[in-house]
Formats: sequence, C-alpha cells, structure tokens
Amino acid sequence: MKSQYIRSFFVALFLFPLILNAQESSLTQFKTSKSIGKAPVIFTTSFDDKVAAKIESTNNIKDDDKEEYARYTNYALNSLLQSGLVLYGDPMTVFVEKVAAKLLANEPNLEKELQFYVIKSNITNALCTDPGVIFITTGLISQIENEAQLAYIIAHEIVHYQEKHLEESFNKSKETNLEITTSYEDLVLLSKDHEFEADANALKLYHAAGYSDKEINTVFDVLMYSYLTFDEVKIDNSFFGNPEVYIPESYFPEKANPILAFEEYDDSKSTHPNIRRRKDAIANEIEKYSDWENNSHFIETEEFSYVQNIARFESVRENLLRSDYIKSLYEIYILEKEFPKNEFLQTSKALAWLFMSQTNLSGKKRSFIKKIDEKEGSISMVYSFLSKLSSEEMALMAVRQTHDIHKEFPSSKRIKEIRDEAISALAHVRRFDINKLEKISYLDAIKLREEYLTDTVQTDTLAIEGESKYDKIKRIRAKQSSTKSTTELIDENFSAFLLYDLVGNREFNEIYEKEIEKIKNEKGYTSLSKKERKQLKKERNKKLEGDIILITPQLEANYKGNFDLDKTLLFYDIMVKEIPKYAPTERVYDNSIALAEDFTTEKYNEACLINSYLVQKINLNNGEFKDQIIDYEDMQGLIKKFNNPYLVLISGEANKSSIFRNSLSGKAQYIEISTGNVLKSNYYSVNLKIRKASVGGLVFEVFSKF
Amino acid sequence: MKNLHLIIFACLLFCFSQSTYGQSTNFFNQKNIFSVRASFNPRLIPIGQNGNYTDDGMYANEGVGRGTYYQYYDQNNKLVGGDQKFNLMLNASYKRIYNSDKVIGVEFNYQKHNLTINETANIGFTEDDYDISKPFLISTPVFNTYDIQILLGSFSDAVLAPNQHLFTYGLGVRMFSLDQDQNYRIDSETPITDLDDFLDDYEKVFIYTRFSMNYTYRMLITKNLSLDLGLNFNIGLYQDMDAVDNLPMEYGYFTGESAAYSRNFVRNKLGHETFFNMLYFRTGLSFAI
Repeated sequence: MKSQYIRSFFVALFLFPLILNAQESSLTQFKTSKSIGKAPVIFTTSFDDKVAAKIESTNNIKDDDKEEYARYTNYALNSLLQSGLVLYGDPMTVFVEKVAAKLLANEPNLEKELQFYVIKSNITNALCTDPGVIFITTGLISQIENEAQLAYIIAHEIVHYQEKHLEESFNKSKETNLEITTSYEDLVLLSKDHEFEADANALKLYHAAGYSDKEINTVFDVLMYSYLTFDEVKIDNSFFGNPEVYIPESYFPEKANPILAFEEYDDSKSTHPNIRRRKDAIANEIEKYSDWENNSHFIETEEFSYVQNIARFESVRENLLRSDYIKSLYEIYILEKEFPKNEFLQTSKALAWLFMSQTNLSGKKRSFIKKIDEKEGSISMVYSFLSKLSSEEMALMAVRQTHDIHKEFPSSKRIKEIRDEAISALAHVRRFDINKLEKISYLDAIKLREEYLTDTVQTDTLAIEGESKYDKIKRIRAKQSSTKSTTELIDENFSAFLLYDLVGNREFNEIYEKEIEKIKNEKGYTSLSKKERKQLKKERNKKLEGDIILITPQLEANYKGNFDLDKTLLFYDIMVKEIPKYAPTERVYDNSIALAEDFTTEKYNEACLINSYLVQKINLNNGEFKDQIIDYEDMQGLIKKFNNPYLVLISGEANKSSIFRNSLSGKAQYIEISTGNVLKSNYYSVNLKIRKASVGGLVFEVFSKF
Repeated sequence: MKNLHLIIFACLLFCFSQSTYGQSTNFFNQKNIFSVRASFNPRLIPIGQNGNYTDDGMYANEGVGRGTYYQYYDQNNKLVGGDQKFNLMLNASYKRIYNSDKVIGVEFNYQKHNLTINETANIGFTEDDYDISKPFLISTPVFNTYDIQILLGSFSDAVLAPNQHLFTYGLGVRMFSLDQDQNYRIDSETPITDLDDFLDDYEKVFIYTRFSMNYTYRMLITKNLSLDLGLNFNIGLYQDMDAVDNLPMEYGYFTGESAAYSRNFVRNKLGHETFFNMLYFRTGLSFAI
C-alpha cells in the first residue's frame, strides 16, 4: 500500500514536468488554437430545435412574444457560433471551464445549464447569451493577471444569466416599442442597472469560491486599459534585433504619447457605467462580505500562464490577420523576451514587416498607420517611427528584418520565402537603385571614417598651397570614398547601409533581378494590340477550373430598412436549395459551418481556418503582391485536399421598401487560394422579392463563372 | 406635317434611353424573349373628319362618335350597324438582348379593322339631292391589318435584364389588306359579286409607315415565363388623312368608271383612323430563354 503511494507520487512527479514540457513545446511550434474533441450539443442542434427548446424554457416573457424572443436570441447565438471564432475543448476553454466549475461548485443545477466557450478576438470582453452560453474572448485572457480576475468576470456573466437580464431587456424594449434588432451588441444591451447588479451579485459566487477581494479592483483596471496592449514596455534598439543596424534616433519622437484613460469618462451613452462608478459601487458591496480569503488562484499558476500565453500568441496572429501590423510587432517584442527564438513569433514578425513593406508599396500605408496622435503608451513610438519611413526605407527595413530572422532559422523554408518576397518587393520601389546600397554597415562606416580622419590628420594639416576651398572639399571627399562608402554619413542615409551583408550576396541580387525582369514583362501588356487585348479579355472571362469551397453566404433581408429575421431565414433556406441546381456539384465542397447533426470537429476546424483566411484576405491591402497565408501549414494541408480550390463568397441583400417595391441584389467573390487572386462576379440585382427565381438567379450568376 | 412634334418628342426619348448604362450579364443568362400578347385600344376618332366643324360645307361632319360606326350584312343579308369602340390586336414578337440590357427584335401584329362609315352617309340625304340618291347602304370594307416592326430598346439599367421595365421603340409598316370573304353588298338585295366594283385594285394592300413607343412591365411567373402589362404608343408617319375627296358611291361608281370605294378615299380614311388609334394597352406572356 505504501509503495503504491510512492509510485503514484513518482508518476505524478514525472508527469508534471512532462505536461509542462508539452506545453512549452506547443508554444514553440505554436499554431492557432483549434477545437478539440466531441462537438458540443449547441453545435449539433438545428435552429428550429433550439427555438422550440427555448420557447419551452422561457418563463418571464409573454406567450405571444416567446417565439420571437427565442428566434432572435438563437439567431444571434448561431451567428456567433458560425463566425468561425468559437473554440471548444482547447486549453483555453478547458481552463475557463475549470474556473467556472470552481465558482459553481455549490450550484450544480446552474452548472448544468451553463456552457463556456472562448472566442478568438482581441476585443477584451465576455458575453452572456440567453441559452446560458458564456463567451470569453482571447483578448480578455491575454489581459487579465490571474485566475481570480477571470473568475470575477465569469461570475459577472453568470449573474446576467441567473437574473435573466436579457429577457428583462427584451421585455423592456417591447414595452417601449423599440424595434428589436439582432445585432449582438443590441442583444446584450443590458441597462446600467443590470451591470451594477451583475457586479454586486457576482461577489456571491466569487466570495463563496474563496477568491481574494483584492483582485476585484484590478479587474476594472484591466477593463479600463484593455485598449492598450497586454503589457507596456519601453522601446529601445533591441526592437530591431540586429545590433549592427543603425536606426537614427531622430526618427523617434522624444517620448511616447501619454496614457490618457481615466475612470470618470462620460458614460451617458454607454450601456455600461463608467469604471469610477463601478469601482465605487463594488467597494460598498465588498464590505458587505466578511472573511475574505486570500486566493488569487486555485489552479496551478503554470496553467494560467500557459493559457494566457496562448491567448497572447493568438493576439499576435489576430493582429496580423486584421492588418494591425504595428500592434502585432509590439506584442512580439514583448513576447520574444520570454520566448526568444520562438519560430511562430519570428515568422509572425517577418510577416508583419513583409506585409508593411508590401502594403506601403501598394500605396496603402494609411491602412496600418493612422491616427498616430491617438496612440497611447510606448507603442506610439513605433507608430511614429514607421510613419516617418519612406517606402524605400521601409522596404529595406523589411529585408533587413526578414533576413535576420532567416539567419536565425536557416532551415525554415517558410521564413526564407518571406525574406525572398521582401527582397522582391524592393524591385517595386520607385527610383530605387540597388547600386547605391553600401557594403558596410553604418556603424562600421563611421568607425572607418574616424580611423581615416585620425590617420590623415597630419596630411590634412599640410595644406596644399594655393588650393581653393572647393578643391579641398573634392580632395577630402575623394579620400572619404576610400573608406568604401560614397554615401554621406548622415541620418537620412541610414537605409543605404541596412543591407551591408546582403549587397554582395549573389542570391539577393538574383532575386532582385528576377523581379525586375518580371515587372518589365508585365509592363509589356499595356502596349498590346487591340486584338491581343481582346484575347486577354477573353481569357479573363474564361471559366474557372478547380474545386469550389463554399462558406456560409452572407445574406440579409430588410423590411423598410429594418432587419427582417423571417425573410433572412427564408433567403438562406432558398439559397441552400438552389445551390445544387446551378453549382457544378462534383466540384463543390461545402465548408460552411452548418449547425446540424452531421457537424464534426474536423470539419469545423477546417471551416474556421478558411474563415480566418478570409479575414486576412479582407484586411490585406498588399495590391498585386502574392499573399502570404498566416496559418501557412494548416492551410497548405487543407489546399492539398483539393484541386486548385477557389473560395467562393456569396453575399446577398433583399429589401422590401413597400408592398410593391422589392429588390434583391448580390455578388460573389472568388479567391484562388493558391495565388490569392480575387475575381468578382457581376453585380446581380433584380426587382423581385425573395423567391426561387430571384435567389436562383443569384446562384446561377455566381456559378456561371465555373 | 401634323405629327412632326410627336416624332421629335419620340426621338428625344429614344436618344435619352439609349445612353443608359446596363449590367454586364443577364438574368439566368436569358438572351431571347418570345412574346405573345393581345392589345386593345379605344378608338379615339374625333368628330370632324377634317378637323373642322362646318355646317354648310359639302361634307359637313356631324354626329358624335360616328367615327367608330360601321355597317355590314349578316347571314340573312340584313344590314347591321356596328360600333367598334375598341380594337383588338394580337402581337407576337421576338427580341434578342445584347450588351446586357439592349434589345433588338421584330414584332408582328394582326388586327381586324372595319373602315368606319362614311360621314356623309347619314347626313341630309334627301331624294332631291342627286349626290346621294339612295340611302347609304353599302357595306363598309373590312381589312386585315398586319404590322411588321423592327424593335429597338432597352431594359431599365438598375436591375439585371430581362427585368421588369422594358422600353422599346418600333419602326415598321402597317399593311391593310381587304378581307375578301365578307358578305359585301350594295344593299340587302344587291351583293357585290365582283370586288373590283367595291374597291379599286382591291388586291393591293395599303401600306403605312409607323413608329411606336412601348413600355412593358414584366411580372415574373417562373424564371422563364412572365406576364406582361404594357402600353403602346403608335404614331402613323403619313400626312394625308383628310378623307374628303373621292367619296364612296360617287359619280364614277354609277357611271361604272370606278369602284364604290376609291383608293384615295380609303387610304386617307384608314390613315386618319389609325393615326388616332394611338394608345394601346397590352397584356400577354413572354418566354425568355
């Protein structure tokens, strides 16, 4: 018996570091989180069944309104579940569930009713939807400091559910005859009273679970500063990695913009009271409880920090997806101190620089650098610095950064590809002359010049008689050039020295020349004859070959400008029936997130991946440059399953402005995933209501490209 | 040129509508439209044949609504008066859509047309007046009317063609051919055995040039079939419409030199009558493929 204890102790001892190692390594090889395990019931239940169940279980709403309430809440929930952002079974969700279990230890009935999921979103938020589904964002997990803070937020959301706040809001809006809309924000539009109630009542669960009262105030601070990155660190030269690289200080502002958030902001138009009022109110409530315990965590802190790091890695990815490159770089800068040589972080960094360079060269710099004055904290330094860079300087910086990362991970083909793309981008810089790049670094050039000057002090003193001022300058400059540098050593010229180690590199020059050649060939198209242009046009109108990946269409029906749920559902319904009639069925793969019985986790993860790709595609402003997919490996795996797949996005809108005036319009976009090329269908518009012919026409139009 | 203003107006409309911009594809890629329709129009013939009201003229025009009256002999050879207040016209057309919303096509129309009774027939015929020595009892001729028109037009550009609103312009000919199977009679006792006596060169058709402007509202029944409601505005492009000379049953007829109806009179009268039949209401079915 005794030996058994010892054995299990040893097993535990061995297992523990093993788990830690596993966690550590999974961050080294970080890939975006996926859902794991069996699909939860809400994913496999159809809309109608959910509505029926909701009607059954709703008590506080008038019988006449029950169906409407059930339909609207479930539509909102479904929209969220089908967003491709919801995770289940992953470490983050498991952690949230554990914290919730701790809170609900004394409420077994409530525990059964509630479900918890994590949403991949950088918005710091938690949501409660009516069927008892609580969502925590990765943004929130990345910002909070410990388990207790998460527990308080979860408790707050549980109270919203417990007290049926959503139903109350619905009833209130019915009373005041406000139009019910299904936008998610509106659905969770709980009055400030509800917030105070949730803040106060959350204490009951929180206190009972044994968490410390000292963490509560911090939660409000977390919320207040949540618009900032998850940490605030000083920017110094290490931001650019390579110590050989000279970045002029004059490119940086003297100091970062101050952080301005304050607690007593005007909350008159907000659904939530301001932080000051919430803090004051909760301080009184806290006093009502005695015997506070002092626990900031019950689960191992390692697990929390592991989960938090996943959330932070997700944040880096999410910022890249949404083209928020600078935020992404700043987060990487914070994270790489803890995770040096992390391939995911470094690949993301390379991607961020490449995207910035490409976006800048496409003339869309403002898409990622804007409102610099409004940026707060040290990240404003980075914004300010990058905004000062010219296209050429940014392109050269991108090569510098990606090349350094490539040197760090020489075996990574992916990073090499990114670096090569960054070099190719140089060829697109206007009036760029590769021959003007220097072969020594700026710092070396300065050193050489100093050495030279000390060497020549004596000779210089021997002024040649009769030499004019200008002859003298010429003579000195000629000597300067013997320092291997012809460029003047002033801050503005720093970029000429950035690629000192690459200039002589054959591969570098080859990639550059190849791109120059390619650009020349492409330019030839403008001088085509009429016949050739016609031919080209014909080719462009050629039918698309390859598989078709369908995702959930974006359909919406309005009646007199207001969202019409019934008609929207009808729109979807007809669309689903019409697609098989006009689509080349043998090539179509439906990757929409359909909440039905045949839902599988594998299919769901694939659909989520495609959705992320789409988010990136929508936010990317890289013009003619080839897309670099952020979830590279996962996407490669997916693409291999298909034959040159096209992602087809259908959007449609139906409007009924009066009994006689109907219109239905829509269009489709076709994204060739392998190249990132986007084609568009013709705009479809008919003066018909939602019916077989009108929706069928749209489907016909969409698939006539294949 | 009585109708010059109308033509200018029509041309302005035409130019304007052609400058609109359309979408680049078609609804279900439908490019051909076949239509079968029926049109009817109120016969809006004014009282005055020549537009004047004179009491003392040779051919004073009195009698409201006479412009729609005709007369024929039934199976029992009994003289029957008819009042054709409406024309019914059958149309068949084919249209081809090009440039995504422009239309080119051809239209065929058919209608039965009764020449209206001669105004002089009912007025003051007395035994003394040798001009009309007998009551005016001769059958009014019946014509089969055929139109052939070239159509040009466009769908409204806001939505995918073929869509609800179709505007077309037609230019073509209207041909009147005498219906030879009628029971034409001078009076109930005297059948016309030789149509040569009835209408000069009766086998020759009367041809008029016509311009039309059409609007069609399409209501989709299935994706291919639609119910059409339309308005059709016709303008005859001819000038002589005063059927005041060579009145029927005049000297020539009695002397045997000419037929009862002279071509000149009939041409003017048909021109007059159809010119004022400007507005047609149409309904029918279109099949687009």
